[in-house]
Amino acid sequence: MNEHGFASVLGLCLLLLMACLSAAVIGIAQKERVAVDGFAAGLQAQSYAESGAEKALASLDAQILKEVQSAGKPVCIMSLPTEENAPLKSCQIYLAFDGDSYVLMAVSCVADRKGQVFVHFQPTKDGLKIGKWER
Amino acid sequence: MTLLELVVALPLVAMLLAGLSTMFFLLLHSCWADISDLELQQQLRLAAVAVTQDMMYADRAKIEEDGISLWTRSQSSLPRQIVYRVRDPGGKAILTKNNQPLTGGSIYGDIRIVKFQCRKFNEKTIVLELGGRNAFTGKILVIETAAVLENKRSGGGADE
Repeated sequence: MNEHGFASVLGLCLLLLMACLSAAVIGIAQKERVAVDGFAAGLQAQSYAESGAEKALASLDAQILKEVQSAGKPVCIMSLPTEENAPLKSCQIYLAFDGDSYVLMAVSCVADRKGQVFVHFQPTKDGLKIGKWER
Repeated sequence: MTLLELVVALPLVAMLLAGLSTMFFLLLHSCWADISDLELQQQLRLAAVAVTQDMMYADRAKIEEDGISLWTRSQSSLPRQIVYRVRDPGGKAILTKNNQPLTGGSIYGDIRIVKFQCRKFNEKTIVLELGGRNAFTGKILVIETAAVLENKRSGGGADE
């Protein structure tokens, strides 16, 4: 092997290294893009679940509470596919009776991301006594 | 180094540098786009939280075409009005709270409000749809949430 041959091999190795680096960097950038889009969908899903939970809480009446209590298992009380956004956006709200209180669970899906909210509450004569929200 | 070597080496180095600089600027653009889209999410999330928090503590709400007015009680028990409006200074729509901007441009991005819609779900629940567009990437994000006027139980409510 002479000096000129060595320089050529070294140059090719360097080019190969640069190509690999470029591919890796482009791959990372693409993954970051997907992650940011995923965050956005996650945010939409979470706020849609909260929206669904609020709507369900506002729609609850004594009849539904009685039915859920007698069912003895979680019952789907509301489903929210909005006309213009369906099927990209959906939210199901379940209600379960847990001894002395109720647990409302809203599960939403936006694109491929899910959001969920659990709300604990107790019915009182003045309305609902909302406990903690778990997100 | 001979002239021949120089003739071969210089284009190679130039190509290498061109490739590297293209990659660098693409990456820089991509990073800024990501940061900018995250800024869009943050601004919309914080604005939605601000509106829903104020709704929760409002005695009364009035839904208007370009915003919502809320009446709450301050510490001195005097009614206080909070007005959320979409303003359009120079074609860049922003959301304001009592004329103070809640969203808008920052060093991370130029966020424009494309949707601010409140609608009554029932007597005490208001559904809020807030949408924004990142002028840098063109990304549009719309979030929907809802809030219950907790004080509605003691009077007041949502008017349209």
